[in-house]
Amino acid sequence: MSAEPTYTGITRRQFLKGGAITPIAFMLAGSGVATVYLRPADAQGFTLRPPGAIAAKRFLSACIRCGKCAQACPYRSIRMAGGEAGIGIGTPLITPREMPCYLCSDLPCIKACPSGALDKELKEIEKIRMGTAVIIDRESCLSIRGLRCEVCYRQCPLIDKAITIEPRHNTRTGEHTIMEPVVHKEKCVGCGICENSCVLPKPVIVVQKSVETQKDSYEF
Amino acid sequence: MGLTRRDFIKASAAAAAFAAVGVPVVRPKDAQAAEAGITWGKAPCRYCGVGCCVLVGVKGGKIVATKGDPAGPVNKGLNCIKGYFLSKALYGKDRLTTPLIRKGNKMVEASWDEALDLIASKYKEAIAAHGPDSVAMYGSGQWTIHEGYTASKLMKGGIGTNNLEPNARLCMASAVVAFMNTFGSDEPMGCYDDLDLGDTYILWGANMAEAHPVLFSRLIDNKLKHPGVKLIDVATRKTRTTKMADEYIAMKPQGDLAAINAIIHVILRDKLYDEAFIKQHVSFKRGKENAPYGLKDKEVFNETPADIKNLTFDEYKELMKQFTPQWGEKLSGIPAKKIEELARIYSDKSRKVNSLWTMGVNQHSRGVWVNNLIYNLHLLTGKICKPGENPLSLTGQPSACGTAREVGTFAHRLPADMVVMNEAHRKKTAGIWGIDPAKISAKVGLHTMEMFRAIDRNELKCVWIQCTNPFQSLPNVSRLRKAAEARKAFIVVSDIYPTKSTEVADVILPSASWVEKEGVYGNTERRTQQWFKMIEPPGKAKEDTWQMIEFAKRMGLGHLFPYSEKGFYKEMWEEYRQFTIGVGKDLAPYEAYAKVRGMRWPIKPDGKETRWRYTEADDTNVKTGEGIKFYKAPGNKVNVWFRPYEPPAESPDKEYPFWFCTGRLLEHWHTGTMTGRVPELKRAVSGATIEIHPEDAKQMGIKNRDMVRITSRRGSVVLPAEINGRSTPEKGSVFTTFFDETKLINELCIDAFDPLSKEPDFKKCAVKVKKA
Amino acid sequence: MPVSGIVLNCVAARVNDIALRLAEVRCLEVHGVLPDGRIVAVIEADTVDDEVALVSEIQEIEDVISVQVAYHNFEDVNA
Repeated sequence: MSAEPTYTGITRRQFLKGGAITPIAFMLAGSGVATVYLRPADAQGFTLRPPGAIAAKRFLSACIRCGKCAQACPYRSIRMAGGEAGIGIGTPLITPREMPCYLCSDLPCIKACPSGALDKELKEIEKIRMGTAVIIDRESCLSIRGLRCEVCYRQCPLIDKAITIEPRHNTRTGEHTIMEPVVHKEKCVGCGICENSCVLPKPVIVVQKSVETQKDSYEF
Repeated sequence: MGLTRRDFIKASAAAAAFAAVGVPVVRPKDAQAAEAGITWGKAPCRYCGVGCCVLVGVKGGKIVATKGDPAGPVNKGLNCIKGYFLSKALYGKDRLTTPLIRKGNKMVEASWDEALDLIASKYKEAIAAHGPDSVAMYGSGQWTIHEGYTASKLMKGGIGTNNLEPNARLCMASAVVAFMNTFGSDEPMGCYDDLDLGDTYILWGANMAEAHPVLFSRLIDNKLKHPGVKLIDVATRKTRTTKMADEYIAMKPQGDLAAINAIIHVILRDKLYDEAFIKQHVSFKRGKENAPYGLKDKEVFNETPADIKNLTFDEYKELMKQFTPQWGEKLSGIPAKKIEELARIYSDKSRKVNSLWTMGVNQHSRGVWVNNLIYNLHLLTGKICKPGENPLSLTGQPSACGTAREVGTFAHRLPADMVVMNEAHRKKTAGIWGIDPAKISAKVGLHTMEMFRAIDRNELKCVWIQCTNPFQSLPNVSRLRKAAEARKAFIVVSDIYPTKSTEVADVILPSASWVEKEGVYGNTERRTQQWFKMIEPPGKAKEDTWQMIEFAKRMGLGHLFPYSEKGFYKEMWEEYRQFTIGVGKDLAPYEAYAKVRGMRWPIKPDGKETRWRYTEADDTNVKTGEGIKFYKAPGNKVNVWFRPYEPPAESPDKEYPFWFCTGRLLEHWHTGTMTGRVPELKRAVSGATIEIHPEDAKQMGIKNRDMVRITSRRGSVVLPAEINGRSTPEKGSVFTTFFDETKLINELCIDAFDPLSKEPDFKKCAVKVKKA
Repeated sequence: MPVSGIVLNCVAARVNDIALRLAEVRCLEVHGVLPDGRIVAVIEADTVDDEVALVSEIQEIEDVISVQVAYHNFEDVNA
């Protein structure tokens, strides 16, 4: 994977067109093996936005659809939405299964944003909240089934913070450990690297909408 | 008229699509029927040395499913992620399916006859002009036992050269030499049961969490069940193993030599040793020192009996006085206090202590010495040959033990711990092979590094490589690649995919892999596992044994392989088995292995396996009342070796200020030729990265995923930086993996090797690091 | 011959019309229409390339928002 942006010569129009249409065809032709995947988060009406995106409703009005964040993204993780986005057409989004956000420490996407749709106050990677990873299918998760997978954990850029391993005895074999990945929503930035790297055809760990931690008066 | 199979698949497709939209659907009966009719067979996993058992589901001549074998004693139905996708490694789009012969810069399709005739004529030509030592074969710890046995008989018994090596030279050779010079017999006394039964585990430079995944989960389970179990990780890099350990002890590269000597010093100083055990079982020896590093071609260093000095226990104690904990701290970076503490742990009578190690110790310019020193710890404290209390050398390949070591496909070995230098051994071998003993050369063949260097020196005319990828995996590989590209030798490569080695081949032969053939593997814990052929290899691909025997026929050596077509595997096995009977390495009749998920040798007279060697508790070679008896060692005494500290071949300096270390990660295996073709694993980890300590990175202005150029005196490579990722090397060192086919990482590695084991040190050389 | 299970996201109000139109496409079977605008279908094509072309074609249908593949089988069967 090259870190160099290789598309500098392409006009924005071409870029938008390509970005909107190629992925599905590419996924089919490119993988050619077994099952290609359907992103459950999409089905639930959640769109993963670039780092620093302001609240969903305000984002749609603030974003001027200029595509500068996408051009600034060295991994082409950010692409501009096509017609499927309805009112969100032309807004930037990230499809983790295609290319997740690799959390550039200098946040070039935010720097490039002229409109304030991406929050310029955000300077630290750890404070990004694009969404939260959730294990949506525990029964299919290979690690929870006792296999030594834990790919999502080892690939997590905030390893041991956003995802930790909770080891427990495997009662079925009687002599092995189940190493269960556990997401900590207060640390997870929602970059989607876990979703991208999940080895199952339909990832069992996906980025969903961040939920504010509920405050209550209970103390331990 | 029922539904067709196509309808079943369509029903499955619809069901999957419904499931994807979250609509619960009862799977149509027909869709379930599509998955029925699968025949299941058992086989050991194709990857690492752990030896997990898998069930292989075959339908219509194709593997349609694999799963962990619940009956497998090693893994009880579990696998790591590589094992989960095991069958996909056979179905890459670019499988080699036809022999190819070089015509200039092109590889042209050929028939088997053309290819084999050409190979035979080249071998004959070279032998006629330069003698049998001008040809060679380079095999693998992934060879089945039958393949290794065929190669040994062909090269040593037929062609008459000992130029036969396995890639296990790069991974287990140091362990082997230490097993031989300490115990007089290769392979461990203990087994995996020790991981369940012990309470203290000290890992010496091993990332078991990633390199031996299922075994590690077994070790951690012992810890979960028994809170008193302690896991200490002594290493040069913080890994996923560290994360699960109770304690991490940072060590400088090469520091193991100093640290263990200092621990022994404390054990002796404070009389923490087991005097009775020592008196009964141990003799003390001092070997040859000031050893070279193998950097010069043809450098010879042997530890002959004349070089070995016998010591008394008192003389040994006197010699060890110099290695104080303070001295140990200086060279290893491990605080003197910690060294004292480790000595107390090793000698604690209430603790069942196990040492575990693998490539950190073996791929070491003094690898044999470190192996010796670990055994010293166990022999001095008497913590050996007892359930739950043993040193265990972990292997990296599925049959490094079974094939490379037990069959003896090394330049100096014959089956069952025998060597070519020994006349009686040659005689016994010739007897079983039905050949004139004079046919087996007494001259030790070229070891791996010298074999490939000999190509560069125009001394080796032909080499046949099977089941391994040396032109990616050898250290300082550019010299060797250049020699091959200059067509200095005739190179044959048998493999299942195009690799960095087929790139330089004159003939490429398509091989059968794993369950496309019948075979037997032997894992770390002496477990021998058999499987049957379940599917046909693709296209014209053929088994390596077939390839060798067809070649042998053309060399006039067909009589060496008189097995019937139907009874081939059994007949060859029974012939090989004769080597093992009565020498403490007994294998069982072939049928016995077909029924079980492996058995650990020596097989007892009643047909049962042996879990612990050398102890009357389990090993029938030890009589009741004898307790522990090292019956393979001369005079039943095992050796504690005096092995001092010597520096590595290359250390960081002003120009190349960083240590460079290479290794493995969980998702990929070896040079990635198989796992790299599994899309799911490629998706999980797409390429190599360079791990840098965060402070070093900050100083150089390198951010996570920045491209970084790593340069050694031998080569240069650009990799994305990984900072605070799955592992973090100690300050002043960087780490990368060698699986990435697109990067010749091993160009950077120094071709220094242990002078005793001839195993290269892939873990230590000096590099500079610069933002690219 | 590859067989795939696909899910179409359509404008909800138009989903029945689209399903009817799809039913006429060769090599495609509609298996279910959901009230929220999704259609579950199975396609079979002669080659993977044809399949990609077919998916692209379906994507061009008006009011089809996206086409996603949930299952892909490419083994050779002549039954």
